[in-house]
Amino acid sequence: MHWTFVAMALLGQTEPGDGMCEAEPLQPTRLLRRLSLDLTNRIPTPAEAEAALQGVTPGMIDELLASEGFLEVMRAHHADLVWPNLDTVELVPESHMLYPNRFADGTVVYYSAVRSLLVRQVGETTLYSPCRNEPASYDADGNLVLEEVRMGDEVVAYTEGWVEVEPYWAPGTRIKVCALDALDAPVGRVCPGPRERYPFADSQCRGIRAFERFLEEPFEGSTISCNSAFAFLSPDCGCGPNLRNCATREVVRDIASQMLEQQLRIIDRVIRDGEPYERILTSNAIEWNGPVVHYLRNHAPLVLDVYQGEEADWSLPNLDYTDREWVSAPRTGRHAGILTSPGFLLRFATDRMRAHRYYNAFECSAFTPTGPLPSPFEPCSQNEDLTERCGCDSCHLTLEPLASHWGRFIENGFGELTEERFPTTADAAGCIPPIESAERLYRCLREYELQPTEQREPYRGLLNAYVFEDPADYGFIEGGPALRVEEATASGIVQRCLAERMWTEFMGREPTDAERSTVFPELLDAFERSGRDVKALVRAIVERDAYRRLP
Amino acid sequence: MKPSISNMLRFGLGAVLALAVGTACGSSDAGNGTGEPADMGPNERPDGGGGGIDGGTSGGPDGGPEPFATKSARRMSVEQIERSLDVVGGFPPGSVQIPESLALTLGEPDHRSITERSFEPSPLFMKFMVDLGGFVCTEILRADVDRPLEERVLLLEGEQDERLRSIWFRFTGITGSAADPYIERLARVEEDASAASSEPGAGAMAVCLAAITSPEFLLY
Amino acid sequence: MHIGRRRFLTWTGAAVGGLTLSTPFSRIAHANPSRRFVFAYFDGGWDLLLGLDPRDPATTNPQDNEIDPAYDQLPPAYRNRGIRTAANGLRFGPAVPESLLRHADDLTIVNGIGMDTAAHEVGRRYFITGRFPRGLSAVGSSAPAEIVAAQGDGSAIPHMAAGVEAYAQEMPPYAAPFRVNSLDDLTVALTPFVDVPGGVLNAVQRFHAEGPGCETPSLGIDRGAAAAMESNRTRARRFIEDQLAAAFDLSRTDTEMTRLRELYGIAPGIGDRTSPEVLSFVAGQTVKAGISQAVSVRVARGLDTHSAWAPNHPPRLEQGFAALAALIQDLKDTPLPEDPSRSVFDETTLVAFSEFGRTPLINDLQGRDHHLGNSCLLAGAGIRTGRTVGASASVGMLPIHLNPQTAQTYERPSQSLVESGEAIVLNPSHILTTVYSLAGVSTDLLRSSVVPALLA
Repeated sequence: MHWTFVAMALLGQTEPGDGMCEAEPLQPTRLLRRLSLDLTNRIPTPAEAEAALQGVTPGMIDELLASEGFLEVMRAHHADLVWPNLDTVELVPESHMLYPNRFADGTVVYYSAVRSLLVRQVGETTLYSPCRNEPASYDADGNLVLEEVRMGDEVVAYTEGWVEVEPYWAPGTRIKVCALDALDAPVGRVCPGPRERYPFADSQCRGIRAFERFLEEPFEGSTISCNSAFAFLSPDCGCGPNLRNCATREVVRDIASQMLEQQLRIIDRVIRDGEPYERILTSNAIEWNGPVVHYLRNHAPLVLDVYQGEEADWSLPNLDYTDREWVSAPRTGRHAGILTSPGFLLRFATDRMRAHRYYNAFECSAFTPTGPLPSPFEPCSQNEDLTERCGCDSCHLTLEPLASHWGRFIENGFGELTEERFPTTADAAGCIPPIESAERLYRCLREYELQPTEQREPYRGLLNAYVFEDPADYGFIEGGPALRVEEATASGIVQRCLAERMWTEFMGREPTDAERSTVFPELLDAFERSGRDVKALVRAIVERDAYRRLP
Repeated sequence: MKPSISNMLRFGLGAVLALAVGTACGSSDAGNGTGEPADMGPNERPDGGGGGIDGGTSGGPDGGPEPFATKSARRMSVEQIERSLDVVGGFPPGSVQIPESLALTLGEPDHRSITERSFEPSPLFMKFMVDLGGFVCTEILRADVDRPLEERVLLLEGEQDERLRSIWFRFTGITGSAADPYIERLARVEEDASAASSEPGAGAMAVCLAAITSPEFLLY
Repeated sequence: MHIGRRRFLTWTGAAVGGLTLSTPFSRIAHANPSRRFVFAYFDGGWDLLLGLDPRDPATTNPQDNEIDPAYDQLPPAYRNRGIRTAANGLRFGPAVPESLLRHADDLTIVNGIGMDTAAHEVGRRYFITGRFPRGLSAVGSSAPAEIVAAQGDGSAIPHMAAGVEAYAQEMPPYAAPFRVNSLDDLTVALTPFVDVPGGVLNAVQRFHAEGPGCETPSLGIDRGAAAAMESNRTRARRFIEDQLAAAFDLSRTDTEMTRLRELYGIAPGIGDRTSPEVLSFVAGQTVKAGISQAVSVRVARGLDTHSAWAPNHPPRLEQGFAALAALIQDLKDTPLPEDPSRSVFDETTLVAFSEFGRTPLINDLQGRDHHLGNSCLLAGAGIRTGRTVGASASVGMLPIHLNPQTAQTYERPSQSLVESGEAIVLNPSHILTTVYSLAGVSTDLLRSSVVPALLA
């Protein structure tokens, strides 16, 4: 095949089997240029082009497919499928975001704008008051000295000076941070806070009492971890040692880009090593670097709506934020390649969004409604089960079972809801009041059907994934996304979809019906014979006569 | 190879494009690929041929023979332009980088509100290629001065025909008799620019810029 | 050779700052006196209860209506506003600012639009093209492209898309979208080539003019694509010759630009050059100066609030409506070049839309999800304004039927009304077909029908 291909490139013959009319073949150097741009994102070097004057050899294509450039092409192709962008995701809570405040003398002091409201302010006036431009001072007992801020006769806030801290993102340097924001206690008191030290310490406790009756111990006056989702409620809880719980905009951008890189590295590995393609969607393997590890340990626990799972689920390596190299550490549990990577799960916050993206990207299928919605006053329009609601049923009959594959991954977060910590029923999970902690209570309310509507009553107490779920489909929940991918691969759907996409990528157009029926079987055969190595599929496409001829 | 202040003042775009050759220039995380994903199922069909440069081929008119279904021509992506200009200029990979914000406008998706690539040779794209080409060609000329003859890109020695063939081949891969008509036109470019400008290297600059902004370079 | 953003901004600001408005647009402003069209996009799915389809919490509750206005959960500024009623009786939600209420006589609210999708890309592309996407892929062309193709090439940038997806399938080159995502992009396009000596540039231009030069077919050069390149290269040169850049130079200190900065709420330092205010300003300038015939512009962003809806959605939605109001005001304040007794707004048709509404009930994350119902806002030339057309149901807020001639709505229309077409559920293709009827585009294009009740 290869030698035939080269001979034809030289002789300008039409490859038999394509069943099309003749078209002009490309000059070999122009063919190499086309191959090089498609497979490595760059034109050939003069030396490479010189070597192609007499024809493009199979070895040249092999070299292009083995290059770093090809990995770049493949990761870009897949980025267009999984849409890596975390711009709208709150990775670090606003209470722990540090912003530079530049004083008139040029001094830059970092402070948290939200903590200005939560910690420095008293009363109702909204006053973003960063600290003063002077070193923090302490009284004889070691307590921070605070100064009153008055509006007329009324004290509206208290402010302090700054301290110098070595931030985790730039070891060896020191920055000025408002002393109240730089606090590094491991635990803090909440509602009321430590009044003996901070006169304003219980100003933020409104609203907390509504759920206190569900807790074993009163939340008010209790001690909480400063590395937890309610840390913002305690004035004791600042940014932690070396500011580890806080971040600047630049750090957040860095973390987001590294989480997306983590996702794309899964693709790199499978393509580079020639692993079966579906491993992109089923493998437990994943790599970590400092920023991502730091995020999981020090920021994710602070976001109330983000459950990051337990550290043991991730086998996190010990890396500092500044460790940029990637370390391989396989995940435990039902993880499935990029489909359960933190970046993907955060980008697509709900199980339906995850399923939809997968369905479209890797099965080349889409949801198309069969017609307009019926009257909203039809009884079936009121059905909360979307697989039975008229107008919705045509899509959701497929989407709901598909989404259930992600049922044991938290929505709006990226942790796995393991059977151990999230059994199928709220009873088994200990979600019956009184509950041991505010965070656990929040998690129970989020993950279990505890306050069902009339239609949801049969599912009272079940993990959300099981609500409206047909028991025959419970296996989808237990199997996770990998189960779906394996089934779709066994039936050839994933391979056909990939062939369709690769053809469109490298031919610059969708395949014709004739090509689907005559050419695709050959492409897929080459792909399967290689053990589903993407490089083999791509090679089969660019070796087609149609690829190297003119429009 | 880093730009000096005087050079930046002299070359307007030096204020836009800072040469970072020799420093670690990682490639963009987002990367750029080629090809617009087709979000359709294997059994769904487009209801007509595509338009523009991505358009697919379709059956001949009046029931005539179906044209040979070949690869469709396409404009280079931002990533391909960056990496190819590295090659053209003999710069280390990653030297040419286009700002992310502009890449979006030149057709790259942000994967948030824009999820599909565009390969239109829009007016903005064509204008930007002149700006980018102007800067890159200037940098090539500057680098050529310090390069041994065999590594030079633009400042070559020898007959005009031979020089221009070498340059055109480097940019476009076009050689032999197919290059003849281009060489004629490039010779006029070189001569006209040299005559019109007192800048040293104006002829070579014009040849470089003509090549970088040509369909033969930008389409494949 | 990294092109640093800061350097980039410095350059663009400095390069444009030197220009003046001494000879602006005189040639192109009168090139085509046809109607202008603006499509203002609210990115992410807007909340109807806060905007175009409000409900009174006193009579609407989650238990009886499956609708939760939740105005009591909003920050005080919005909570205290409640439903806002304009002088002409049009009702808006609490995120609509006073500046838009002032234009109520020139607005028509269209409620009860069925989207048949809960996917961002599908809803967005449905409203942009008027055709239901194939999978996620857009089918056909954006409305501005269709309009420009019908009107002909009559301006410098006939079809501008500022921060919005745009499509042009099988369109003449001039109808293809000129995409910009920020003011910087536009500045780059419109600012003279600053580093190429004139003699060099002229020689290069002659080289291209002699093209395409593909003398042998074995090179793989697509003639159509090469011709499109050349056409756009010529167009780009014209931008510069016409000195269009000055119109977008926000750093100008003359009275006119100062007034515009104040009107659009753009700080002297400009800041974010992709903001709704800046992009609305760009749209206003292109329409006023006749630089574009049809513009789509993103006037709001970040509306996809599945969680933390109360603190985040209202200010972002209000920002969009405020940007829209500023654009309308700007067009009203500008005399029409061909007839100074009228304003540019009098010759502009405006559509404000989003991909869908948000669910009427609050979810477990204190957010709102994607709703299958939608609304839009129409304004300006050719539109019968000052009214609300169409409605969503009193339970669940899904679209209800409408008589397209009389605007009568039916919660439970008879079968015969539906079959005769006297009762329809509006969808985006109805809206765009109606707009097309004002633009000379075939009303058969989308295989839908005009809604006469919307037309003046």
